[in-house]
Amino acid sequence: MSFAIARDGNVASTLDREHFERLLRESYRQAYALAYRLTGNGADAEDLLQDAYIRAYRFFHQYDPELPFAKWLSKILCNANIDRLRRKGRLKIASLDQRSEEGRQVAEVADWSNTPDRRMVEESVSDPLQEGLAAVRPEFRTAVVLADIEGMEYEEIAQTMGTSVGTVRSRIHRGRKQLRRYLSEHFPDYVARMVDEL
Amino acid sequence: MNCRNAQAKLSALLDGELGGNEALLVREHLRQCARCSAEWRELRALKLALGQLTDAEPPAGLEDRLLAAVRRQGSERRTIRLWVPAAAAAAAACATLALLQAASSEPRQTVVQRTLPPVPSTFEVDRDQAYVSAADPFGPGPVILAAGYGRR
Ligand SMILES: [Zn+2]
Repeated sequence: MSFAIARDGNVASTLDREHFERLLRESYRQAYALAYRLTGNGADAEDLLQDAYIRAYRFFHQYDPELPFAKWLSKILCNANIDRLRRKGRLKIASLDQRSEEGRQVAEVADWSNTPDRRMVEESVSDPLQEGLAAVRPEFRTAVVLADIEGMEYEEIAQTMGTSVGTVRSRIHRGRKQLRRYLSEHFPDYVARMVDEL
Repeated sequence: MNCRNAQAKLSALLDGELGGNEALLVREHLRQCARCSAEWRELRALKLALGQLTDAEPPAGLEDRLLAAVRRQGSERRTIRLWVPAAAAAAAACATLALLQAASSEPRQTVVQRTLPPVPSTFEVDRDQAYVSAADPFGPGPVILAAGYGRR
């Protein structure tokens, strides 16, 4: 056998469990808000959040208590969301993705803007911004949400998404472009009002 | 700086992620170009609007449901079946044979009948001894970890 099974110890001691539960209580509201922005509806947001906390609990031994728990959880949550979409077959393979984002001649691989997340759109009709976000490719959406809603710097977003600052820059640029295009096509008055109020 | 170059950098400028000199060049272009400055205003408005979105309120009972889900993780006892390669079973059979031969070559010695424990075809593993993660939190693919793995 290539690995030995440790018979001693628990996955998490009672102390770890209590520590984790305290962190969960402190963080879940903010985490829910992020999950909601990424998924666009309450049901998916809750599923995603549950998935993220379960992953976080299993890998709690990897958590560095010197760092803010919310940031560590955000990272897990963003990755869980990308996995979720990948399972649904909504994302193209990563290598193709990377090339298209970082290559000199950027081919618009995704026609994501023409096939926005249907459920997300249906449940967000009351909010043009949330509907617009649904029309943005998930990786781009995640980067924009982390920058504009979570207020993260590019370096932090790069760490959270496991990518380079250059890719983050490109994702945000293209995400905002898709968002702007969607809004001006579907809500021109809303965009005009938004600029006037500036 | 032309429009194409400037527009590619507007987002980074907006986020304060553009170096000093580059930022100056883009700002200079914005003073001269109506089209790019219109785009700049729109991007700023968009960023501001996104930042002002009110946080979605968690549904009632979410905290309890999350805690329950985590607790289920810890207490659930799960059996993981690990297939022991045929080679291991063969090796165990050889060992038994060698033991018996050694015993028979020394007839005067008192032979205590020893049998090796049967090789199990599966290990019953509880959740608190080892666990299988359906997915690494930071990457795809399954991971099997011993409980003590990575513990400080
Ligand atoms: Zn221009």
